[in-house]
Amino acid sequence: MLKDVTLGQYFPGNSIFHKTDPRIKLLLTVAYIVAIFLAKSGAAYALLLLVSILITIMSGIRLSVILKGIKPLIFVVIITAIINVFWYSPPEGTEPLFSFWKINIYLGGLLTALYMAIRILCLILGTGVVLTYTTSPIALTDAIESLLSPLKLIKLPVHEFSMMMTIALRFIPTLIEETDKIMSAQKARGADFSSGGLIKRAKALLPVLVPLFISAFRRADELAVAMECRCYRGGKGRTKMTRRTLRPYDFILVIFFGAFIAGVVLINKYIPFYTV
Amino acid sequence: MAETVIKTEKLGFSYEEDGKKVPVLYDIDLEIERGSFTCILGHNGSGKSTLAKLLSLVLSPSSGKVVLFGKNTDGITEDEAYELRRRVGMVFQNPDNQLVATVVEEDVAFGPENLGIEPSEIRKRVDDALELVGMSEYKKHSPHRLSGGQKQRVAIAGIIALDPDVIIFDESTAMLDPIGRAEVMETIKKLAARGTTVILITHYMEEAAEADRAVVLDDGRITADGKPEDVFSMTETIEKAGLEIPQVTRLLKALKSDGINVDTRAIKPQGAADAIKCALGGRK
Amino acid sequence: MTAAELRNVFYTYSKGTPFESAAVTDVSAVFESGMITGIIGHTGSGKSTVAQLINGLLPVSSGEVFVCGKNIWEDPKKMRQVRFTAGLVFQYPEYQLFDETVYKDISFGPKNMGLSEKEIDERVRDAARDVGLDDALLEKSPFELSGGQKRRAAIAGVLAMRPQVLILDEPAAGLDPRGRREVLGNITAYRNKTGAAIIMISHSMEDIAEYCDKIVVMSDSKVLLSGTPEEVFSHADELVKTGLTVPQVTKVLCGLKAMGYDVDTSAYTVDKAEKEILRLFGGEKKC
Repeated sequence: MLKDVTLGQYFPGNSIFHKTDPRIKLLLTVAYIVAIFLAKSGAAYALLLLVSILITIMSGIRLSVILKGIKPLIFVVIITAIINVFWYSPPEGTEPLFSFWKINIYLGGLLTALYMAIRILCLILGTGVVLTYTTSPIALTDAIESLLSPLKLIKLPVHEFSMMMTIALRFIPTLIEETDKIMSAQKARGADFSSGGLIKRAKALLPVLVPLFISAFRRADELAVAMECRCYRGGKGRTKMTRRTLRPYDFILVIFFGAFIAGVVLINKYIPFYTV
Repeated sequence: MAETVIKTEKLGFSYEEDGKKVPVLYDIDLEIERGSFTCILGHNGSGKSTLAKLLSLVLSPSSGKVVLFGKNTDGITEDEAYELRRRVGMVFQNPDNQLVATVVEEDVAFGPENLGIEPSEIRKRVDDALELVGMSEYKKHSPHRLSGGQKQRVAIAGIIALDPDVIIFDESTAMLDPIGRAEVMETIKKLAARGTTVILITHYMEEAAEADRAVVLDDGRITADGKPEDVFSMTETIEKAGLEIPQVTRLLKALKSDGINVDTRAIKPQGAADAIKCALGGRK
Repeated sequence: MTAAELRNVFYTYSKGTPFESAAVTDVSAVFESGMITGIIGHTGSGKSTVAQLINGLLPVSSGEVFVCGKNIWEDPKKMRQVRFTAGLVFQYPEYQLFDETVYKDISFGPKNMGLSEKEIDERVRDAARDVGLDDALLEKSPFELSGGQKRRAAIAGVLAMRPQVLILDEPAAGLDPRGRREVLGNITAYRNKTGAAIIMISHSMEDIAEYCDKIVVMSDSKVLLSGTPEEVFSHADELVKTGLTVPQVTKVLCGLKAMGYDVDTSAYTVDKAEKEILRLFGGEKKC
């Protein structure tokens, strides 16, 4: 059922990642992605994998959750790996590792495939652990607002943007539930959503979409009035209940990730084994 | 006599549809005293929600005026309106459509944050408000997993955190199940007992029975105004207004017309049982 | 005649996920033609789930569901037919109105049944009349109607399928007393006209007491009590214990009983309570 879909999953906990300032986490995620793309040598990839596994363990997120997050992407990993193995064009004069029929498999191809798989895996683990799994959506939007606030100087509606994100996150589950209900109600009147061609199916959705849109507009209208009654008038003069100040573990994490990037760069340079 | 916090003078409202003026309220004169608990009764479309929106400055009058805390609200500045809106809080019908945030305490903080209050003070107000509505243990929860009554209590906390003088409940129990309604009514009674001026808009007579004053609105006009027990005994007015005489009152009146000398003013079951006991005298 | 029946029905929500929970546990109930059966219980007691189990919107985890003598899960391909026979009106059905005109919206069900134009027209007009909607309103957009009219238009959309079993989930929720009386009156009239079995889910004890011939009380996903209103309200204590209320007049009688008077607390309407109390006064009529 639609209801079981949970968007922007967040798993409450007490790890260092949960406690870190979301702004720092946002920056660290960027740093982490940079590190992933800097890696060239085999040893650097090994470090990447090691660090990803380490932070996953540190985050205290259950293994089953992590696996569920990885599962839908396994297919992508396999396809990219296969493409890399077969479409690898080696430098002139490289001997294939082995060949059969017309296909040559090169060491470089296998390595590229392996590295690509590691990259994707690390991307999922890293962004998941550092950001989405350990940061509540509202903390994330606050962080985005805070980081983008310099843009207010050039009159960009940063606050409005983050308010919109917050409200969207708030109403996604409500609207999903409503969609479920309207679909059931139209089914009770004999609506058929699962047979016929594409056009017929799209048409069958009309009795669901029209009430859904009308309801969304009604909600938006009522919410706007309610917000006005709660003295909302844009971002000007607003304060925040939770004012974040940087704390020691924020710095520990920054140092850790700094060392991580430096490590990748140094390893690329000094231990260039199996560089592709 | 206590201070008059809300006063309307010949308040009228109409909206335009297809170029025609459709009147909703006619010449409403109403005074609300500080610390009172008033119930405004009326059927759907009687104009009671429009009245609420006029009192909280969501709508502006077509004629007449709204005086809040002694201040005529006609032609006031945006900043003055902002402050008055804080002092007259509104809780709406649909609990889903007034919660902004994805975490309960963040939502309650929304109002005080808009006021630009110090973070530590916001924290205190949020904790106090959640405590008052009995939702402290849910402060880290996501609102969409709560029951209707719980959501509505969070919405109430969000208004309490603004520290208003008056809270208007615009049919805030209409979409709730009996448990939710009872929870919200308990909270409203608690607020009233605490000295907050409460205006409860509803069509449920049992809820009106809890108030100290009942005002009946029928097609844009006030047709009754007084103590609930007196208003409930105005059978014709109540029925004309599309409302229903509570079962308890109907029962007592039926007994009375059977020739039994019973006090028909009770509006709650226990009161009725007491009145019947009294009429029975010593008989068992 | 039995129009619908549940036999030892179980239903589990979100089976196999961490959110798994029992919504209906070993529920058996019989719904007869020409009768209005009320299902009452708290939110989460399983009463709304029962509604969706009867017309096959939710699959039973175990047990059997019969509509007009047929086990509906024997041939799941014919499920649409079951939904036309057992019409379900959801809670706040006005939020499901979608078409340009009231007429078109009401005709959605009959059209899905594959009826002829003439038959559809007849049914739409009939259903509109059943809920007291003026012919003039049929060409209006459903979104221009008043709250009560919208509700009745949405109910007409189900009545137009002429269901032999009509299930309504909180048909009067949120309506004012006048709107409530109109809708509940329409439903009773439909029963009188067609002899259909009506299943009305509600949490208003007063409505259930006034309009229903039989009552099923649900609590914690099980059937707690069932029977005629007299039978059910004679268990006032049990109802109160599960947190359900009883009609206000029943409360008055319970209050008298608690004071030591010998009264029967099963009266649930003003008339019945009046008679019962008059008995205390020795049946005398001092005029």
